[in-house]
Formats: sequence, structure tokens, C-alpha cells
Amino acid sequence: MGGDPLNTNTPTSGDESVAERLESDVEFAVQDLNRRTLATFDSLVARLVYLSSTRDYNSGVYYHDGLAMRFQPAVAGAALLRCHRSTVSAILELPLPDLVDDLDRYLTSTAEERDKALGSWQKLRAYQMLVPADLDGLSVDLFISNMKVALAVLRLRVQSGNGAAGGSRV
Amino acid sequence: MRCELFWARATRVRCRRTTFFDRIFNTADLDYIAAQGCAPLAALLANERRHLALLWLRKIKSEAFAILAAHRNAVRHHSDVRQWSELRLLLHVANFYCVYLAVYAFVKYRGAFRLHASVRSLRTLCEHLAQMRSLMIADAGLAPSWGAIR
Repeated sequence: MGGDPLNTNTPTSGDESVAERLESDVEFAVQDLNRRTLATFDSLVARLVYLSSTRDYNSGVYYHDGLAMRFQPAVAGAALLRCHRSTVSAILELPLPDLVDDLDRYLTSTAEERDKALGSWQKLRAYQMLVPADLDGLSVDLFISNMKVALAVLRLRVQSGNGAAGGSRV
Repeated sequence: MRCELFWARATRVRCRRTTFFDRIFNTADLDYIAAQGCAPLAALLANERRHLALLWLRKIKSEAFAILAAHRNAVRHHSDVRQWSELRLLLHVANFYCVYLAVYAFVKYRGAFRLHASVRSLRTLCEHLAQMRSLMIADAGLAPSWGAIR
């Protein structure tokens, strides 16, 4: 679970061309996914939420209808996993101010009221489920910690907007 | 080779462009939170960063001891053990452990992430720890790829 499906069977030298073709298919699927779907999101957090929602929580397998129609399901799954990994890596690289802005963009773009969405994120801690299964423990902790702080900054902004800033609970 | 295989299984830490402690000791984050002018928020960041730093320290310590254990297993049945290299490894381990204890105590009890000067000292000490770990890898005759935590 969580591993790259193409790496589960290490190809022998005779299978190298098959592995290369699969690799190029996955790369093509990644480009397709980026161009058709992921490019429409204006924040990395939105991409992350979307990509993690394509994963079955029971099996850990990624599935995307459109992508599976154009490519083999295994290739589509591998492409989704690859995009999920790269998105979470990009978020981990973000400085805190950028992460706060990114998260703010996402929360503003949801159908829910921003304040309500913020409250749910803080209460339910849904962000804990957004990381790929094979992300190392330290990175998971860094991600959760950064999200916690970023949400606290946004909560402070909301409170400031309501005239209740300064020394309040975050 | 056996050591490398062991290590590849034992660590699943992924490489990133910036190191883990580059990220957690990022003073720009501290400046940003300080600019918000909210004491509980600053305390939250300090606590979170201290927690992460302690996790990193525990991880790097367990990695160092795993290196030592792998080396011990590898040389157990060797007849051509070089005393000088073994002594050098032991010195590096002792040096590593002393620095580790100092940094751990500093982070745990001072948690001094709010002061830039202490962040710089901590960064230097952590870099020293990482270098010590690399030296131990070299002393133990393991491949550099062992250095999974950066």
C-alpha cells in the first residue's frame, strides 16, 4: 500500500523495454493530469485535497475515472500517486506566509463560508488524512505542524476582522 | 552490501531540496509569526518547532546507533579489524552523543526558537550532528547513501 505500483515488480534486463514504456506512460499520464485537472486549481492545498480524495482509504489505491479510461488503471494510479507526492513535497517547501496564503485561497474557494470551513479544519483536523501513505514520519509531523500554525494564523485574521484580535485564543 | 540493504529497509526518509532542520529553524517563519503580534500564536509556533526539533534529534540519534549496530554486526566475524579506524569511529560516536545530549537538553528546556542568536547556534550544532553522522557512516565503511536523514 502506498508504494509506487510500477516498483513492486523489479523488471529484469529482458523486461527493461516494458518498464521504460510503462514509465513513459506514467509520465504522459502525469502530464495529462496536470494539464487537464490540476492546472484548474489555484492553490496547492486544493490540489492536495483533490489528489488525496482519489485514494481509496481502505485499499490505499488511487483511482480516477477519466485517467483510467485513457490509460491502464495501474498507470493512472501511479500517476496520481506521483502527483500526490510532488504536491505534498511542494507544500512542505513552502515558507509559512505562503502556506497561509495558499490555505486561505483554498478555504475561500470552497462552497462553505470561510469561517465555517476554517472551524471544521481546526476541529476535525482533516489535513492529517491528506498526506501520501508512504510519507516519512518527520515530514508528516512537519506537514501537520505547519497546517496547525497556518490555521491558527487564519483564525487570528478572522478574529481581527471581527474586532476580537490580540491575545485571543488561536 | 548487507548493511546497505538493512539501511535501505530501515529508513524511509525521503530526500528533499531543503533539509528538515533548514525548514524547522527557518527564521523567516519566526519573523512572520512575530509580526502577527499575537503571543499565543508565537507560543504555538515555538512549541511546534520544539516538538519537531526533538523528533528530528531522536531520529538522528537512532540512525547513529543503527549505524553503529550495523557496523558491529559487519565486523563481528572479520579478522582484519583495524584498531585505529575502530577507535576513530568510537571517538566520533562519543563526540556525536555529547553534542546530541547538549542540543537535546537545550531544545527541551530552553526551547529557544524565538531568539535568532540561539537559532543560529542550534543550527550550527545540528549541522555538526549531521556531519558527525556522516563521519560515522564513513568510519563504519558504509555507502554515503546511508545518510537518509539530512
